[in-house]
Amino acid sequence: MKNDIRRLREEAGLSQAALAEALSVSRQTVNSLENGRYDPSLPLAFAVARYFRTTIEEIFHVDA
Amino acid sequence: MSTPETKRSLSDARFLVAFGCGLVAVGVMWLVFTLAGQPDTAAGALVGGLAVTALAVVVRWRAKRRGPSADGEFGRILLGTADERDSAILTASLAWVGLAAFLANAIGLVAVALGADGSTVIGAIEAFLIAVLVAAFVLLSRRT
Repeated sequence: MKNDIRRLREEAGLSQAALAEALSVSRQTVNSLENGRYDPSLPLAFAVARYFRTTIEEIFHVDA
Repeated sequence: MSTPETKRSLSDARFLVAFGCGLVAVGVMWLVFTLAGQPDTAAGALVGGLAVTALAVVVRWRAKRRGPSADGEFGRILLGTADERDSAILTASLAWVGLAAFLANAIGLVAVALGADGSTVIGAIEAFLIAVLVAAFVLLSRRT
């Protein structure tokens, strides 16, 4: 699953560590999310969407 | 729908309780094996248990100094500060261990039937399963 987390984070001027702290996950998890290696759980996806004040659909996109 | 808060830092009090429980467990194991007349096993349990507890203290110290992201997946799991990805990696790694256990036990059974020493086979199976756990954990940490 593709996502726009990296773009949103960079637009917000945040480091991966800062976003990780805000989402209560590790920096490695943010990195994996941004690179599409890890698909978040529904609660984490909601947390990401709420943090960037948008919706899950605006951030996460199904491949193909 | 509410989003559950994830606990990211283990409080000092909780760590001290866990540390104390670990020491008590190690002490109890040592006592049980000693009373059962197995001093070598008791010494092994004592050394192994204390080594793991010491490792937990080191990881805790690093976590306090550098932040949880510096600990790595294994460190966070050990400290109880694992996030959902760490837990997923551990779950998947243990699934591989479970799968490998079927194979290892079948091979071990055949080996014992063919005359291999039982305790050697059990030791080999344990070593194999630990190796599978470590390999799966490292591989999944890099790929996930």
